[in-house]
Amino acid sequence: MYVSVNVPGFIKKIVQRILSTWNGVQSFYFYVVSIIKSFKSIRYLRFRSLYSIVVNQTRFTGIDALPLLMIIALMLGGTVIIQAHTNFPKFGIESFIGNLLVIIIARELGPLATAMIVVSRSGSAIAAEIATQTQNREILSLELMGIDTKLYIILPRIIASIIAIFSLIIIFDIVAFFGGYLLSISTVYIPIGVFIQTLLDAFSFNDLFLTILKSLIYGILIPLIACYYGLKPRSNFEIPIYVSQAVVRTLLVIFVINAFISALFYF
Amino acid sequence: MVKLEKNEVRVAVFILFPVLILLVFVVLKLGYSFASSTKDIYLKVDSISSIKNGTQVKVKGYTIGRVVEIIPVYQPALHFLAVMRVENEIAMYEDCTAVIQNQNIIGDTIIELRNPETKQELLKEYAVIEGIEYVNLEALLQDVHVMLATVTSTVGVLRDISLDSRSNIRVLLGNLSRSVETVSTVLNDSQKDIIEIMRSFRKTAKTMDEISTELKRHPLKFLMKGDK
Amino acid sequence: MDTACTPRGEIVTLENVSYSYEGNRLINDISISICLGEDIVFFGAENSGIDFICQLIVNAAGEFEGDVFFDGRPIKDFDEIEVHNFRKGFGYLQRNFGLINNMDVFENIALPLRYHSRLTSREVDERVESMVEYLKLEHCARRRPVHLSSSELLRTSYGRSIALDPDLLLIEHPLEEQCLLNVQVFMSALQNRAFAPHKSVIIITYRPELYTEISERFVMLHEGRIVFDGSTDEFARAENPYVKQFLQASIDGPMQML
Repeated sequence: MYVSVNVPGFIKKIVQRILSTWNGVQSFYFYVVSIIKSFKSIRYLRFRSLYSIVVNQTRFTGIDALPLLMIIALMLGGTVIIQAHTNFPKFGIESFIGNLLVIIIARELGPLATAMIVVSRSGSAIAAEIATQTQNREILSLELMGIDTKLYIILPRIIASIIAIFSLIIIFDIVAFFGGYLLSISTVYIPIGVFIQTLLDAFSFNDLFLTILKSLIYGILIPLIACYYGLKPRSNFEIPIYVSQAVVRTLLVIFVINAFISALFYF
Repeated sequence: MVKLEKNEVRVAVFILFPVLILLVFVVLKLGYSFASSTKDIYLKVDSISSIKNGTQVKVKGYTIGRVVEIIPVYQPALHFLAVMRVENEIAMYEDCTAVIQNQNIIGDTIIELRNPETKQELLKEYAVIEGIEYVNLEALLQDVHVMLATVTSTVGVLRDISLDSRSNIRVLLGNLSRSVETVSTVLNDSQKDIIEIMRSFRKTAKTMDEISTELKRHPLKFLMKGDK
Repeated sequence: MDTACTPRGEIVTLENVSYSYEGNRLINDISISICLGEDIVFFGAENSGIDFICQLIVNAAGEFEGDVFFDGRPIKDFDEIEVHNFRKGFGYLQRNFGLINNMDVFENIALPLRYHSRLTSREVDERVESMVEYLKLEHCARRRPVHLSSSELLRTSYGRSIALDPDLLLIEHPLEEQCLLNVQVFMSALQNRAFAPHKSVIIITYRPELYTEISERFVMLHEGRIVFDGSTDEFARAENPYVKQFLQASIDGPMQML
């Protein structure tokens, strides 16, 4: 026996939204599980076939993003120093400037800004590339050749992404530090040796470990989510929809994870 | 020999550069110093009247290094950083003090480093220490002499002022007694005049009574009297 | 036709295979064996079911009824890793060629060798170079697929499908959108392969008459069923009403065409 209940429209919409999100999470979970399972066939994989993909993806994700990344790093480093000079007393600034840069740039802004640059440049490109390849039946053709597409497409992109993000974070930090330093010497003189020493003192092994951890997590998640949405379109007109979703969802996940890591290690 | 393409070389550099930076960081963090047995420490001073290149740096009288460079710093206000190159082997702690003083009455200036009483973290290379300047004995004696002279002159001025003031007070008191005398004279003179004025008032009152009596008796006659 | 196989036996067998997609029955109870060294042409009209034969053989069509045996083993039993391993035993030339667009001709042909073979990189390069030369693709070896003509795409895709020298080559509609003047290199290469002992070729086509010098067996499908299975001579005589209607492109006959 069924009882008919009048459910208000907005509650129905909320329930539908929750169900759709839950289905999405489930679908992503199965996708990740299928990738993990496909690692069983890694012993049949010749890494030389992935080599050129890794090199090209690293070049695209890392080297080609360098000019943009360096400009953003310089600006951010400068902004932090300007704010510090405006809002903190100048006396004794040389002793805490290293800590300030390490806390703001190395711990938080560096990895986050790098991830955002990689998502907007490479995440979208990966999603669009995979979606186009799916529509052109290139993915099917790889499957028909006996190539495990999960390993062949996703694994090299993850490797390249980890390498690129790790290098980009380090370069971002260095450029931001020295951008900040160059700006700071216009108001407060700090010998370069003192500056480097305070940076070294402030930057701990814990920070180094977190930089590596973040580059690992972002390096895995960005291509993983991008490929997931890249494999979704069933027709050409769906490609931009899923590419946009890939970028937005990846950014959301990265912000959540960044907050989670900060809370876990620094709170 | 492996032949690398342009892309591969760029990617290799892109990977190796940060790895190298990290390695250097780890090595420095672990405390390894690339420098020899000395390290450079900055001494922050307001003026460089007393120190110069070559000024000795001592701990408990034992020379551990010298000033090798003096850098002027313009912001936020003009001050100087003296680079002291000191031996690594003498353990100096983070809260150590640097006193700029004379070796003796006729000796050169030295920088004396003093460790705090309790052990702390070791002083790192490129650390900055604030310099405390001790005035030398000759300058101190000169200052005392100048001060005594100033005190003497001040006492003289005070004495002059007190002498001048005494005569002025005397003149002032004389003038005051004269003023009192004048006032009493004026009052004595005024007494006679007042009696005369009172007498005149009485006369006037009497006349007014007469007028009023006449006016009551013959009012018309009184009024017309004037017209005739 | 006598379908007795050579001593090495059947390479592929379809046994009572039926296949449906979204409620439509596309293959209807087909049973056929293909021997090692045998070359076979599947032909038929649109929606006759020929387009699903290759997909069923390589286990790419999804769920189906009946059994497909490869070297005597039912492909339904293969797990994911076995499917990948068994597929490298095939060469598959898709209708739209399926070339990887961000790789040039050389890299496309080298792809299965780099992924599957145990050859050194130098040996792979040498083999691909000889393949490029054999298929007369030297002038466009460093071009990407978007810059190739139809026949160059066909030859590149063919080169890739035979790079691992498979025993069974599956070809879908190779000449349908080609100028016959430009495909002589491909036809000659295909003929060489078809004549090689212990190498089988399965061709899916709407134009079977182009392959009479290559194949010795012709199979026609209509509404998912086999309506003709005969030799080149039997095909050429066109005594079967289905074959006759197909070759004459006539609307009169047993097949009702829309």
